[in-house]
Amino acid sequence: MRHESTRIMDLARRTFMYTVLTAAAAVLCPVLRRARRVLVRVRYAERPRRGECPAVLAPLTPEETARPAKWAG
Amino acid sequence: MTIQCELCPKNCLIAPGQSGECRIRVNLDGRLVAVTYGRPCAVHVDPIEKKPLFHVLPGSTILSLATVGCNLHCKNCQNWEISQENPENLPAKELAPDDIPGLARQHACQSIAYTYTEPVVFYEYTMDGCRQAHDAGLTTVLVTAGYINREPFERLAPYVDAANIDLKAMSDAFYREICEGSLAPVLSTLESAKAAGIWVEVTNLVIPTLNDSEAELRNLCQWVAANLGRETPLHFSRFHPAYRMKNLPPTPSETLDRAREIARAEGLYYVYIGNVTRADAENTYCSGCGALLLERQRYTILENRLRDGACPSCGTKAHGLWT
Repeated sequence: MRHESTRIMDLARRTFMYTVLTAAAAVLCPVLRRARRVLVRVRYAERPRRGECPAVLAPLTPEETARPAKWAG
Repeated sequence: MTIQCELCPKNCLIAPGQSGECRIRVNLDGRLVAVTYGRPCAVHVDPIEKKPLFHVLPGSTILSLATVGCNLHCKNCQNWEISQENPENLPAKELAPDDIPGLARQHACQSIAYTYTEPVVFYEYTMDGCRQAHDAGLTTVLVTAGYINREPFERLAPYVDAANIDLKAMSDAFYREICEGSLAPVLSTLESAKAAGIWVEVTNLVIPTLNDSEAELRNLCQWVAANLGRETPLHFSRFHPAYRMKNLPPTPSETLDRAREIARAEGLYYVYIGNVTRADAENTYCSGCGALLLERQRYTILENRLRDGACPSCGTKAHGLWT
């Protein structure tokens, strides 16, 4: 039969290890996940291919939106 | 595959299917695509004074283009309906860079501006458009907050003739809290533009209680004079409540007058007050003798007394791109 103090020490050790491992996992998992991520650095974007980014077309012409040139004085 | 966009200092990490903060640089299957390329949401003919550019082709009209998007998120944005909108939510016009010079000529415009939102974020469209315009002998203009990394800006600079660059405040805290940006890259862009030979005019929107202290205004004027030159036009614009900053009143006229006095005391030759209708607010005076060179009322040139870009009274050359 185990002594009572041994049982308490065993429980404390298990609790301590559980806490340490959980904390380590919480810290390391996001770091590892980020480290695994493939990251491509790009400065200049590509022009969209035909039909790739269809704009919402509206009957907007400069004639409709422009102010008359004489307005500028 | 995640992409890091290194165009502007935000250096956004963009997951597949998502866009950067600007909303228009999108990760499409591992490719960074500028989705508003060739699709401006605004195509207008404006007086060049509206940009504001007071020392470039005065009295002329300028073809002004913008696509959706901005990399800053200023609480006081005047054009937030297009700058802070997703590209799929606004109608756009198909306008390839090749077609821009022809459209400008059709409307008797000598110049083309990338303006209203932020030309930095639709960089590739701006670059191609400016190249085409230069080839066609047109003047190219950027109206920008200057929030871009140095290398891309220096690559664009040879195709830009003039720029109005916002210097929103001389405080990093202002940029962080009001604009979600930072000050240093803007100062860097201003210096790069000057070094590249671009004609630079600076605009400072004076907002009550946020950037209108005498110390800050003086600091801004001193920086402009020391780093860009005393000949750099400085526009103090009046703030009007808009977007997410409706809690502050419009800038009092006296504050703008005080800002102009400070700028003149710091040695700047050309200081203007914008967004107000007042005689004398937007006139250009000779840096040599003080004679009136250009009389303006808002966007209208009432009188242009320049003779071959010089003062008719004393002959001092006026700074700017006059022809």
